[in-house]
Amino acid sequence: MNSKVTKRVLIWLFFGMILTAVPITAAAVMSLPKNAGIVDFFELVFNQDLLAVAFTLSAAASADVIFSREGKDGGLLKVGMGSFTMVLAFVSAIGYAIIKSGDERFDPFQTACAVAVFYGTSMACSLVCEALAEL
Amino acid sequence: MAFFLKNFLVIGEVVSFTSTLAVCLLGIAFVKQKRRAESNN
Repeated sequence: MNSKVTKRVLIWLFFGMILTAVPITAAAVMSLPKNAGIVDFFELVFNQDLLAVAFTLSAAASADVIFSREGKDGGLLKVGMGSFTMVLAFVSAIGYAIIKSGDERFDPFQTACAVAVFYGTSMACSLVCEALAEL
Repeated sequence: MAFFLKNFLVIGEVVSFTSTLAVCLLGIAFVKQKRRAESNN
């Protein structure tokens, strides 16, 4: 793999993904009740705050790839991937608004599963966007 | 609208997961086709 791509992806993984997940994970660990199981931890980590992080990171990654000046090939692939990541970012934003407003009462486990899927898909697409931005 | 809000989590989960999977498969197919075309030239 291209060393520029590897460098960019590793930098994004550490400074973008891991560092933003640290305060949310720390808050979940600190508010974990005694005798709590793995499901309680899962429900505390995958809360709506993670969707705000997913929205910000994926919107930034899609802008990176759409306005990338690197290379001449793969323009359609870049714009397509960037637009799709932008759509996922907006899905995360809508999810954040719906969960945070509290108008609908969702099951905590169902909410955590949905947040995990939204976060996972937006982060996977953002990673691909960051790699494509260097190609 | 009320139906959408009530079932947003399930609808969003299914749609975002399947569309991401589809986009990834399309991307892989696109890159493979491009490489094959380049090697033929």
